[in-house]
Amino acid sequence: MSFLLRRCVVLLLLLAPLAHAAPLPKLRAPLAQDARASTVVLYVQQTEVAVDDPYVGAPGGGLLGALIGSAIESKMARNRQAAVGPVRDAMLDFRFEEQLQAALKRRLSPALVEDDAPFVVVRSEQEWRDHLRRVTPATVLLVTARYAFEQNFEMAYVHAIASLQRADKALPDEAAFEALPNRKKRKLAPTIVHTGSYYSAFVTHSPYRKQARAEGDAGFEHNAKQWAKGGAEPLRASFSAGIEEVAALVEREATAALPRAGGKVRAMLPHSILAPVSRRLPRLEAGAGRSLLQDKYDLLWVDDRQIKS
Amino acid sequence: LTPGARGLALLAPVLLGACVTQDVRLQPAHVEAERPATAAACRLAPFRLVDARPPGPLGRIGAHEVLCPDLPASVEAALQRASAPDAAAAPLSIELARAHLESHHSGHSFNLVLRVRGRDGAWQVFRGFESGITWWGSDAEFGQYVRNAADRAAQKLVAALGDCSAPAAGS
Repeated sequence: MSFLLRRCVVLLLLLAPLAHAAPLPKLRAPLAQDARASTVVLYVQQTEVAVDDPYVGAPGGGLLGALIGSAIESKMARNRQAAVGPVRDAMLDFRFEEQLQAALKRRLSPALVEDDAPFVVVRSEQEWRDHLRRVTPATVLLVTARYAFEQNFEMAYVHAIASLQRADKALPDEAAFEALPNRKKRKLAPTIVHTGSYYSAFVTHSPYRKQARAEGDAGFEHNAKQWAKGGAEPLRASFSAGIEEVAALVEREATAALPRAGGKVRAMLPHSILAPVSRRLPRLEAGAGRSLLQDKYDLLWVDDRQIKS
Repeated sequence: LTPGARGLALLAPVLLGACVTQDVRLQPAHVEAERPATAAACRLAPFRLVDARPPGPLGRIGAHEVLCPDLPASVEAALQRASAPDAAAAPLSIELARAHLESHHSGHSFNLVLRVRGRDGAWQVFRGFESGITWWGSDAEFGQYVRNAADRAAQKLVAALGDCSAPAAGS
């Protein structure tokens, strides 16, 4: 149980500051020439499409309740791993990082990124720090990206957080850095000048309509099979389109090219912690079966079938 | 939590990278299993394992990156556990395509993917995974995830590509 307890403490510590989270830093004016990003870093940890963790509700009943909750969650995680296997097998040659890098190169304008800025992919925090050591002092555009299914495979989505960071303080080498107390490590972190969170979600059917499914298939299994059809072509196409949408949003928000919010709609959205959530949000833009919604911190492209009619 | 808060939670590990203190490094003893007393019932051609995984750690456990430098050797051992050698068969090139650990609220999943290109040029994919509650978070416990996933992938590969028509010597 020590591991479970440790995870709970870490989660609580992680979430506590969010209760009083300050507004995200945003660019209020066009960047000066020398304040543009001189390097773009893509941070992608995963090597296969992820599946959001199952949400089984708040466990009650003390230790026994926690054990039961963990057992249910573990069983659901195992079922999801089995269901996503064929989709992952078909997607082994899908190069998420390469596509995202190409999309960002096409979309990011000279107003945000220097013309000859190199693009780099990192897969761990040490690689990120190694990159900072090489370029400091510099302004870096860090794009942390994830591509995933929500827990019942109704929605597939791409999520990217882009942050423009000014790195002025030189990091010591890795061994010396590791030896520093956490307080000093935090002081060495780059200053965030601008940041935004961007989603692009896709469905194969309306999450508000019940699907006919093969006998014996649970809902998540039925949904996973829909994405796996034709060598996972529906998923491949969705992720490719999602990469383009989030790359365009990174550019549009940083250069103040977004329209004003319009009327509100209710939409089913992916949520990696609390399972899909139905939310009422303002719509900024619509067309070609897609709608751009705005949440407090997020810009979200959704399929119109995710919107409750 | 709003999706925005979730986004911040996603960003937090990057910003809190300073909190990383050490890696989790799985040693051969954590991922190797005893060879069964009786040889496996199928024969497998001599093989060459090519490590074709994307670069990077296997995954993360909290703030720690998970490394397993000897994973290819462990996969070779799993293939040997699952079969007897068939020296007369044409050699096989097996690709270790993916290996990754995913963290859940109360447990982990480990996936390991092997693939072999068929004569028609199409890949045959063999995936093994282990998923369950993590009780202690010890290196040995994580090694068990790796071992079980490797064994499952190896058993699928041997069943599909091995010669199971006659019992192997010693079985």
